Amino acid sequence: MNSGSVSVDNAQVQAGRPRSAPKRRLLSDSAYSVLLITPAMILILIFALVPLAYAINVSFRFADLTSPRGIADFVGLENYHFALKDNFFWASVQRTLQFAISAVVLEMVLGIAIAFLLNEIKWLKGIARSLIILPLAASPFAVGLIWRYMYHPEFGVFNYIVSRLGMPEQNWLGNASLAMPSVIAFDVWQWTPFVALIVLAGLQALPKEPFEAAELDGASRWRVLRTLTFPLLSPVLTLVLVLRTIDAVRLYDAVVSLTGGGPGTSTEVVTFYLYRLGLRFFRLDQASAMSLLFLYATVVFTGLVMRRFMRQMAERTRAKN
Amino acid sequence: MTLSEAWDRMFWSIMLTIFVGLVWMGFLQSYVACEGVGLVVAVTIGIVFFATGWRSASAKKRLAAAGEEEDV
Amino acid sequence: MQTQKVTFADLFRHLLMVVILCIFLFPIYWMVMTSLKAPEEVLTRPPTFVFEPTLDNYRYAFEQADFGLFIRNTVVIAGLSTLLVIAFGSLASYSFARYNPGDGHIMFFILTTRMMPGIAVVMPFFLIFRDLGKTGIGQFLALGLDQVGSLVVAYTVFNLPFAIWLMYSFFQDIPSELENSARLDGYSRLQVFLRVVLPLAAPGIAVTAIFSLMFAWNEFLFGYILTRDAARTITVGVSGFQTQQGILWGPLAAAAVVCILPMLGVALMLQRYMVRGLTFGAVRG
Repeated sequence: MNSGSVSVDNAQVQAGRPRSAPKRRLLSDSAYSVLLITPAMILILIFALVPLAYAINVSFRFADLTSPRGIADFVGLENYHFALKDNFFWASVQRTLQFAISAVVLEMVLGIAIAFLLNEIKWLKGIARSLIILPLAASPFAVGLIWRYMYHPEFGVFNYIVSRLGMPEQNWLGNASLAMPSVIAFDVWQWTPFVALIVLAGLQALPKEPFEAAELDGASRWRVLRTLTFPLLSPVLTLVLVLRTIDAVRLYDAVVSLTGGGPGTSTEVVTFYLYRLGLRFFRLDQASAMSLLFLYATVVFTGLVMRRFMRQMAERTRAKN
Repeated sequence: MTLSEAWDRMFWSIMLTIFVGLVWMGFLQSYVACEGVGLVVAVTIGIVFFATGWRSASAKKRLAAAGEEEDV
Repeated sequence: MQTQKVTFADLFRHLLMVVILCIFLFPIYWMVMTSLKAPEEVLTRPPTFVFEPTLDNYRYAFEQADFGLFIRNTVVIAGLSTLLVIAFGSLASYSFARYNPGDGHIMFFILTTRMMPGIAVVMPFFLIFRDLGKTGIGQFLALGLDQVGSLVVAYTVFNLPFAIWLMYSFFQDIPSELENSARLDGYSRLQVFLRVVLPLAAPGIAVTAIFSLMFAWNEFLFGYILTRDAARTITVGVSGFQTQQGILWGPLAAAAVVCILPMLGVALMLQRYMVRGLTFGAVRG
């Protein structure tokens, strides 16, 4: 791993031209590399492992903050049994998956389309690119409240547009079957630009030569896309998919500002159910057990998807040194 | 087996152990009403998974070593 | 470019782009418009598009809540945490890109720390800072509840994983020959990092700083739970217009504009870096 700088030293000695006396090393390269990551790792370890340890500890105990006993006896796996049997929890998991899959698929499709469009337009490219990222910069919570105003059944601008187009007005957030699609629409609005930006950056970084060769061969546009563009883009697409999925299953701000989980429980995703259980009903034990199950699922999913990616990165570093 | 490979295998063994444990709790415990059995089963499967990885890695290493000797 | 003929397809593409931009910008336009409406015009049916702009909503919002304080807090918190993220994150990221300690596993571990749902860790964070605030060093660094220091630390921790991952590819793009020849010139490893590597990685550091700043500025949950009055941030301040009697849409829109506009400005000014910086080094070979 650290053979790079070692071989430089050898070269220096062999060439017999040390411009300055070779410095005596206080630290080996690997010790130095550990030293560099130490400040960040201390922070991350404290503030990731302490909450994790806290959650694990509480998840094996009885913890009802409304009862005078507070965080009390060890109860074994009881909270996990509860989590596995709790229908509200599984319903919220289902809603989270429904949300995450619809939102991420829509964002990927639209984002890729917009990236291609941005890559191909001739005029005003810079302006279009600057303007499209604006939704991304807006605070999800604050802009979510604005969307709530726009969704307002009486004074909202969406119903005005819909009625001008000759369609029936809707109670966007108040109708149990429309509320989730409305939240999805908001998320798609906010995060499609993110996908578009990353894919655009990927498109601009593609090597030119294979495309020129394909053009010489007279390959059709569709064939170029299928055999060149998408395979070359696939690492970028994997990465953006993973990043978006991690964020989408953790959706919280938008639900708070748009619907507050309602109507009924129709937009109550996992994080919001955890909030209700843990910080409203103060059943920290059950909420902790559920959030650990949630963490487990995300870690396994990401681990499986990222395995190849991680290995490629490690190889690239090794090849460089 | 290098430290990094061992860690990787270890990580997935733990994940597998948890998975088996959860499946046990979720589905089988209503038939076999005992938590301890599930725990033992899950941990055993995890250890077996780790051990097979360990063995195949050391077998590969032995093969590679043998191959190098032949080259010399 | 100019020699090429403008085809029908080109016109169609530009038209489509304009339509897409209109759709994506409409909510922001509507927010600004609403904030400039007089109270009686906010709740009309159908909504008005032409009206006499007034600053009443802004005046009301600033009277109701101490937005000056919120903005000051947010600037301090977001700025400091971004500085810390860049300082710690660039060291760590460079180390991963150049020496790869932990063979990728530490990198993955760092990513997993981002996966815990915020709502699950906010309670432990609350307890950590409650106890830290009582210690001497905690008081010195303002690390208690309702103090800016605790949010600086919280946002730094949340942004570090993303920052390390984002900067990684920039550090990896720097040819190691450059570093080696600098070493031959007698630079120490730390000097190589500070004088050769950091300037070359400036675009990556810029994009990371933008995203860290935006995240810290826009965060809601931790700002809401960990502060009460003195350290309130602007995003949490916006929620103050949801009252028992209903939501005051006009002042809320004004507050949202105050909250969102600075980050829109940052994004507009620095968008060049944002596009360049976002591949995470995933395209190449």
